[in-house]
Amino acid sequence: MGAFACALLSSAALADIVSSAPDAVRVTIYRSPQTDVTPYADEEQYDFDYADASGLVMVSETRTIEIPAGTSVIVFRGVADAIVPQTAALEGLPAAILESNFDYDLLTPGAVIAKSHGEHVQVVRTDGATGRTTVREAILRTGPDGVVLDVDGKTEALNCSGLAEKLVFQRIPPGLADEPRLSMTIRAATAGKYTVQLSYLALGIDWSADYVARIDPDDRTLSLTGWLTLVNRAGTTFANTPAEVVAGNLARDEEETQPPGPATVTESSSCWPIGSFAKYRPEGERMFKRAITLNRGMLRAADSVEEVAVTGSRVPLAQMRELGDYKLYAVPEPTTIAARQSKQVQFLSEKRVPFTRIYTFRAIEESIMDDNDFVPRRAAVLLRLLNKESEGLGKPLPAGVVSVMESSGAGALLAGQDNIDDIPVGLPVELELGLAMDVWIEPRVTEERTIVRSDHNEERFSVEVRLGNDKPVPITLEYRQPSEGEGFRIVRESQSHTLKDGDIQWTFRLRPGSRAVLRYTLQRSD
Amino acid sequence: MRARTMNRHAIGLAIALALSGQAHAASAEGQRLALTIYNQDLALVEDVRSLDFTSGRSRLEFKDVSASIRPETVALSATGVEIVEQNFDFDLLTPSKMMEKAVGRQVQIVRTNPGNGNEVTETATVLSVNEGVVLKIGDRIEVLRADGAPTRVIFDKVPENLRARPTLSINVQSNAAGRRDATLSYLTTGLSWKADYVALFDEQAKKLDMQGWVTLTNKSGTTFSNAVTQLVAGDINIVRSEQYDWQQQQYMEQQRRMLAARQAGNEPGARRPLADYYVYPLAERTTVADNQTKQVGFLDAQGVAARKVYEYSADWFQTLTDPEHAAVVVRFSNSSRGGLGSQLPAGMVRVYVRDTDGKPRFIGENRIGHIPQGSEISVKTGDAFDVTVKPTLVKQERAGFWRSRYSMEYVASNARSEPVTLDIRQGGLWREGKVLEESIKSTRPDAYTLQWSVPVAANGETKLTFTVETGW
Repeated sequence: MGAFACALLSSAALADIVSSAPDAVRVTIYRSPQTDVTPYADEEQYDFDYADASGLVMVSETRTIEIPAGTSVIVFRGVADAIVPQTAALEGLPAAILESNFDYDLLTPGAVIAKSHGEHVQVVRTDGATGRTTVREAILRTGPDGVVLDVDGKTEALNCSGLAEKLVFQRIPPGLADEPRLSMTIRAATAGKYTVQLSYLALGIDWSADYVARIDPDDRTLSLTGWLTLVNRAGTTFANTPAEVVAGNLARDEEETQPPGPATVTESSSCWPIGSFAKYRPEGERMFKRAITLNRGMLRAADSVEEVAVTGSRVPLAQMRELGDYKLYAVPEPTTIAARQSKQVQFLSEKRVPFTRIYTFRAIEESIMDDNDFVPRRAAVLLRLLNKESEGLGKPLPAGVVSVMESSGAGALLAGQDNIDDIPVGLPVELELGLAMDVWIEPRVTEERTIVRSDHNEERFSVEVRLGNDKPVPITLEYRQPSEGEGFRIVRESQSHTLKDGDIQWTFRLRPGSRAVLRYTLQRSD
Repeated sequence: MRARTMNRHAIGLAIALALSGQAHAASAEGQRLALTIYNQDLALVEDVRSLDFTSGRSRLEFKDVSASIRPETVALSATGVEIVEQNFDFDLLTPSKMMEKAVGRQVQIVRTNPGNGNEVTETATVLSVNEGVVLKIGDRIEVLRADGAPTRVIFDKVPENLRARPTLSINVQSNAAGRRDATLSYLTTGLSWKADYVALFDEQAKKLDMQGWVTLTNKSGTTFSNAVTQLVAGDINIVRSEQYDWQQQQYMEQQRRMLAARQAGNEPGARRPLADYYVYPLAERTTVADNQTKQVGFLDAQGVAARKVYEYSADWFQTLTDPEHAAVVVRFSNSSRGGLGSQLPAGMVRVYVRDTDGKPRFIGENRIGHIPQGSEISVKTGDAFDVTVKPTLVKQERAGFWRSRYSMEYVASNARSEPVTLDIRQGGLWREGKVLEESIKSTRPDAYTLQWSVPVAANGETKLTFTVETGW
């Protein structure tokens, strides 16, 4: 093993160069697979939980570093708190990076005790009645799960006597830090001052797209506004930062790409049981109470889904450009993404986008062939748009929630909400708003036959559908029959069909108050 | 397994106490450490230290070994020294343990008068430590601190077998007194490593630059200072306590292999093999601190030939109402001809591209398994925003006993400003599957799969239709 001959590389022996803060930061935010990132109103009462950290951000920092010739350790302070250290990369330094370290042994009372084993400490006791303090020299025997001390050659426990007691340490054990520490050991041929780029991935910042579609009074066009909602659940504030978000679905590994720490040692006193003849209170009681309080807190958080106030004004839109096979939106001006904050920026504002309002009904098997209760079914209301420039749109639409608003005499009215997937230019957009009140469908099976063939049977169903429009306006109604099962075909029909998404579709144009009847017979192998 | 080990050592303890003529802690003076770290949460520690042996029997205590040591794997070797027995004691000292061990013994209690602060010291016998400490003071029976008055308890000494941390001790028989080197070796959990790759992909130039880092994590509870470190890539068989864990691991491993390597390697690797594994020695001694992740570079390749591919796979014949996005896959080879020329230990590949400002941007990550040199590697980076596929099952017919005929239509759309080629794979062919008609000529990667390379014009769409017949 020739490595013995190499120079000793001890980080303790090397002088640390501390890069205290970046000169400039730029963030690129990637989204979590789930679409709803809106924070709860009372979320701030929960501490940032590393395991729940969602979203992903690529942080690019510009830092100025002065390095000596030879081997040195650069400590980067002020990095994001949910940094994934194995993604850290340094560019622009004419030096070899020997190793990159991330230390997350945090300075906590428990860690001080755990790492001071065998050390001389002082135990200070304060008398509750007189206020007199006594200071005794002691040797720490164990901890942090219950501290045992050697005092004057005898052994005592700490914090088991009922007296006011504390330990006084002479020093902080080495290796404990106030925050996780990213450092790199480098070797440079010459000394110099350099501007470097430190980039890394971190968790805790997420974004989503949210749309508001306002239907114009003519019911033929709508205005579509798109917002980028940025949510910072982490404890790091990115001040005055050029920010970008990336739309599209990245391959991610949420198990591996995680911050490793921090490792905190908590102190617990495991005293001998304190008993009494009169009263015995089980230890479990307190924990149970705590569990209930915690549950209540979670319930409350789930109840109060807060709507983010949208206060739009005529501001420049976030500009889109291509990033590989994704879409990248740059926030128009440098912005401050504060810790535990959500922020909205507009990226889309299209006026007079034509749409068609369609009423649809899909005859899935249960709805026509199981027990027919002869209750009319209601049609679903659908807004259909085509994402093309010639159709008034033609913009990539990142996945998100679309809230459709209708104007009534009394003001705006929520007509319904729907999720959309990432929609590229050229594809249709369908927004399902809910069920119509006045458009109904009444399907029933009028005949069922089995045709016996030499090696198998065929099933044949005759269906009669009554359709009605009780709205004061003419409508388009699409009745769809899924073509499911082997050998499926339409044997007879009262009007010709088209194919839509693999379904058989009959389209009706219904005047106000009008009725229609559809008859068809379908066949499939048994 | 572990529980059984503990029992054995607990029994051995009584003997050890009887034996221990003189116990001296083996100090870390002149210590030389060597670490061999495996992928699977395991490391071999070799700890060479100069020890002063006494002639005959003596007891050595090692307090600074890994806190996650697997004590059954400990071995000590030094010239002229034989091991009598090894003990691992893990009965930890806490106040309540100390009180429990004091049952039947005398302690001092110091009561402080809450009114005036006067102290009264008495001698008490501990009768019981169950839900309270019952004491006998003279003729009185009392419960400790039942009155709420502050009361200190002073113990004469700590019981021998209670320790601040788990302690390894070895009783040795030495044929001569004097200082000499002894090698202590053992396995420990809590140390692991994996590879992290940074791939900077240039789509236009069809090249990627690849850097490989080994990422070491130490959660063993112990810092290893100035250690000669080497990393072993490969899957060694480790017997663990729970069979389930092992199966889980095998399963994960299989998944990982399926993910990345498309074609197994056929080149001899440049790396030094250790039996059937590959070894990566770190160039310099290093300190692996507790609760630390450490990265050291092991690979830096420029201009590796690579290309981007759009893929869509369907396992079955079905209609989807919403279009699906094609997967974006970066393909490259780790053969020496392709420019990489290194086997790749298992880990995570993170892919970056340069944005218009020249700065790298992350575009996705995926795991790879251990990949031998000369393999074809596919890394899926994500879904293409602009390339979509919409499958429709147009017709499904009976074609005789246990046979069916399926007519499919795949509409591939491309909203990009350049033409693309999309590889569509259709699974679901079983017995004697055959193509009856198709709009584009297919290839057959295996008996159960068909593949078409579908060209799609810029801002255009291409319809792939085919009819297959298959038995089941």
